[in-house]
Amino acid sequence: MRTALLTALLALATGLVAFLGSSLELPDLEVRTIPWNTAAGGLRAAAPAGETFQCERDGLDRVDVAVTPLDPAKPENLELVLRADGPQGEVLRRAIGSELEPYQWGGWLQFRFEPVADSAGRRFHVSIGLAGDTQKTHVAPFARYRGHIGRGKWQGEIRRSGTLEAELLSEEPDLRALGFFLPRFSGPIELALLDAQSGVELRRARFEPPAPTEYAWVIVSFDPIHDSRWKRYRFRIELSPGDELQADDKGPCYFPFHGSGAVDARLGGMTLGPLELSDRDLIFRAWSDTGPGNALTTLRTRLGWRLLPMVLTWLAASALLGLALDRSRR
Amino acid sequence: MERPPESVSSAAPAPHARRRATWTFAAAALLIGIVQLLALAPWMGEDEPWHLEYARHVAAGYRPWGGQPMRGGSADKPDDRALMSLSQLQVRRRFADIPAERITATQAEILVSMAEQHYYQRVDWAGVEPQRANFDQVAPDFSAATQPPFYYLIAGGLLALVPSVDVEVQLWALRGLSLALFVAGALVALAVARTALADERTALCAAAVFAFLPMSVRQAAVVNNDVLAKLIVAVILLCVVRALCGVRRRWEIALAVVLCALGLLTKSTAAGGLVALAALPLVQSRQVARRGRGIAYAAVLIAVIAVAGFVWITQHNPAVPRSWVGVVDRLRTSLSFDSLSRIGRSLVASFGWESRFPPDALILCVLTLGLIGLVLAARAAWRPTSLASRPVLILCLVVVLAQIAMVVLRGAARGRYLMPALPAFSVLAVVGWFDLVPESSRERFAKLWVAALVVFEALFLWGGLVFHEHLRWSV
Repeated sequence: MRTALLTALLALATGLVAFLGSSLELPDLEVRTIPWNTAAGGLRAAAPAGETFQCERDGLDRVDVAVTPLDPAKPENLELVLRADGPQGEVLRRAIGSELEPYQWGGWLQFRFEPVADSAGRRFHVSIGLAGDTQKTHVAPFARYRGHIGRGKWQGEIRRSGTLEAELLSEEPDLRALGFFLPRFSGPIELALLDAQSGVELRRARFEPPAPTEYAWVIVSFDPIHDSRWKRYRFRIELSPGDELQADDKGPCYFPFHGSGAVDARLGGMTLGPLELSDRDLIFRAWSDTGPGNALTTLRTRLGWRLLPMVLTWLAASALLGLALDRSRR
Repeated sequence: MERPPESVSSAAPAPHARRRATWTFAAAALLIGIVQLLALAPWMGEDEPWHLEYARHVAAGYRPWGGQPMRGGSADKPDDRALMSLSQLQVRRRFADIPAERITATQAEILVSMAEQHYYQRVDWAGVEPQRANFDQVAPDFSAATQPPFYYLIAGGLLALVPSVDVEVQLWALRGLSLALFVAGALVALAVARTALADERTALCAAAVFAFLPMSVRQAAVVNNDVLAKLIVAVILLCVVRALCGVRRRWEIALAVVLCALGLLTKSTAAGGLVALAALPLVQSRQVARRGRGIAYAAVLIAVIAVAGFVWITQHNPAVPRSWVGVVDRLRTSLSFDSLSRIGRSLVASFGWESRFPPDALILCVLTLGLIGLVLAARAAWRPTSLASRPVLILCLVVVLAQIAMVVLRGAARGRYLMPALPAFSVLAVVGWFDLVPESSRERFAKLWVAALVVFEALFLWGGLVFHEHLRWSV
């Protein structure tokens, strides 16, 4: 019986340590996705990348932004600005990048600042830009387009410019955007979507960058086509002079996006310089008061009545294993 | 062949003491399985939507063979994919006379429940978009409909008895089935260990690996055919080990052959049972001399393999490559570091449908301990040990290595596909590690062993599963 009791105590102690430790690693808000494949383009002084969001807890003191690898840039070359309410709001905090936590194809660039004591329920705008006099960098933040990504192609090795036309098969309903990779991107990109058979223009859309950039996934949105499942379309892209788009020998590389675009109401959408892009979000996470109290409250809400029986059953199972060992002694 | 030497042990425990230990262990396995049931949110077991879909159609009386083949586009007919998504076409190909509306409605019901249960907030690669029209919009080109039907006939039979059409009620019913299969598997693992090992404590330690290793016990709470494959292979291993130890009854090998066939009709990973059976005459040298029996034995095994191969191919099982190019591609993928590391990671612990993992240091530590256990067991087989007989150890090594080879060459990097070899691995790990320890310290070492398992399970549960699947949601 002594072994049983000790086994249960060991389980309890380990479980408590694990829970307490993990509760310190619980962000207030997290845009998380795999893979990170739509980088928004190298940052420019004229076009910081940002996001509007609402905090759940008090004590907002850290924001991490998903970025492409920093080499040769350094964390201290990047600055974060936290504003109240939205992109035009009062500046509350400024912070220089502290460290990069490697993840996916890049990492989480961390920005720490003095806690905002009353952050619970408030809306903020956070933007990441260049520190000091730096005008440009290859470092790019990642964006997550709202909706889900469909079957496309992205492994071409040819660069094309001018006006390009190609055909696509939409395998899913609610086609609502096409994304293209532009190694060089300075001017507006015009997209026309046509019915493949009749040639009738169905949608026209445009995206104009606030500043020239490079290595950017440019996502061009249009009103969703609800009956797009298994339909063939032609698309025509007009690039600005000097701009280049990644392609293979059959045409441009692209990703289609589908769905309703619904996301959590706490996210207000991405900003890129003066542009407000409500169809996508910056991949970021915000940290405020952490600790076991918050984690336990969340867990009780999400697990409900199952939490207590789970703890008791787990301790009993551990004790019984110890007891079985005791009983198996010669 | 005789039972393992008992030079270091005193007499076997009294039957009533053994029975009490068995019941206590069974209760522990049941409770830890219930913990996983309580901890795992609906649809958070890998591939559950597809498994439930399959079982649901069986429960409704649709025969899981003789469906409509898929057709590509031609001059006079459009591609079938214009009518339905690929996962739906695979269901139509599996079930005879199943209406398209039923396939679509079943997927839609499950998808609504997945969104309500915050599936998309918990699984990083699935996106957060809640509106999905079919399973392909969660994971393209994937379906359980390519799996052999045995598990689904059982699951569908059970579902037919459930007086509810609610997909979540049905999900819990099938999770209950998984729990029962898991507990049965744990008891069989204990029986294997008791037959293979001379010492009751070491047997309990081996069975505890099966029952408390987190990714093994997780299968108790997931609607899946892996848990049945694991049970079937465990029973086959028990029959074979009993034959090796000279304690089998006459019908046990026949039972093992039948189970081999059922295993292969459950999942391709159950082929490990066939390996155990095939290896029996090789490690049991006296029987090889009996040529007539040997030839009959080989003929039965070849027949089982041939039938299984035929069934797999006709059922479009993804485990069988369709061309030489496919074989080469698969080898290239499966032998890559990425694939091997994914197998290792998902064997030790994974969360959110393998989108998150514990720290690499923990994974490396557990894998290293396991590998060292295997190496030490091989050493013990080479240099006889008092803990188990050499033929039993060789048999277990063959089963484990064959399972590893099958999974690596299969090209689908999933640690759970190794699970059918877990009872054999548990015996080896226990022999390997306990052989290092003097007999006088083994009781203490057994406690340490159990303590390590309890600690690992606690870390998995509270630092992993609860944290990643209930606390840390994406928006």
